[in-house]
Amino acid sequence: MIIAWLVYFFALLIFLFVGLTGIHHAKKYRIKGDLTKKATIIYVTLMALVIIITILAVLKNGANAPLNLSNFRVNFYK
Amino acid sequence: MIFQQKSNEDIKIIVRRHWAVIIGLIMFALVMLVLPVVLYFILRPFVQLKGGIFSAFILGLGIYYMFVLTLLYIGWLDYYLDVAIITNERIVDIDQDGLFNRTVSELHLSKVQDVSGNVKGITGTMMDFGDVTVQTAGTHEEFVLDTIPHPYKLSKMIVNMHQICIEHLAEKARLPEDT
Repeated sequence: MIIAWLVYFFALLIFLFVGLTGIHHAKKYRIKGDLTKKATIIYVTLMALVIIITILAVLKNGANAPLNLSNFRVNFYK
Repeated sequence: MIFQQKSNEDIKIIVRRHWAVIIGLIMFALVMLVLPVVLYFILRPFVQLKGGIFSAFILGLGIYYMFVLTLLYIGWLDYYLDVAIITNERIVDIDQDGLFNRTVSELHLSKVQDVSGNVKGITGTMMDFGDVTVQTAGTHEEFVLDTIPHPYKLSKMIVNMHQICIEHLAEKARLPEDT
């Protein structure tokens, strides 16, 4: 599970970098009265929601639960 | 802000590319956003996820949604920051290409020689969008505003504004002689 968390936080860092670059561009190149500020607020809010919901859901399910492949079952003949 | 308005300058119109340019990206992002939910309801009776596997799945889903949201935001910025500003003095064309490439071209209205509107294809004709090409007397010979709405209307407007600008400059040049 530690590996899954590491992968998640690595991805989070990458998206943080790309997102912040976008926000920086939006601030730098916006024209007075345009929609970039609103779009940035929506983007940041949605990203924060996704991060919070993901972390809370994992914590609720068990942040250190062992990764056993036996817990993953596929049966298409039901 | 990249566009600095001069004190005696009046912004006449701000033109962005037609919304048909970004509709593909929006549709793609919407499908990507809904897809996991649809797959969840389809596969729920057949797939069983428990414990750590379920936690890892949630983390994966979190990464997926962050990717889709960032893709949508960056794509939207690429579309929205690509803008042409037409003032009573000049045309400023700002071309945003991806996140890191940007070209800003400026042209004074007095240097305009020829303006043409160009509509291509069925979608362009039906939705009334196309390119406006401005020929100039300067070193930057051609100035293209691509996939913009109402290209014929805009080209006419640029010609009219060029005329007004020329008259204004001529008037300015005459004034010292009269006084």
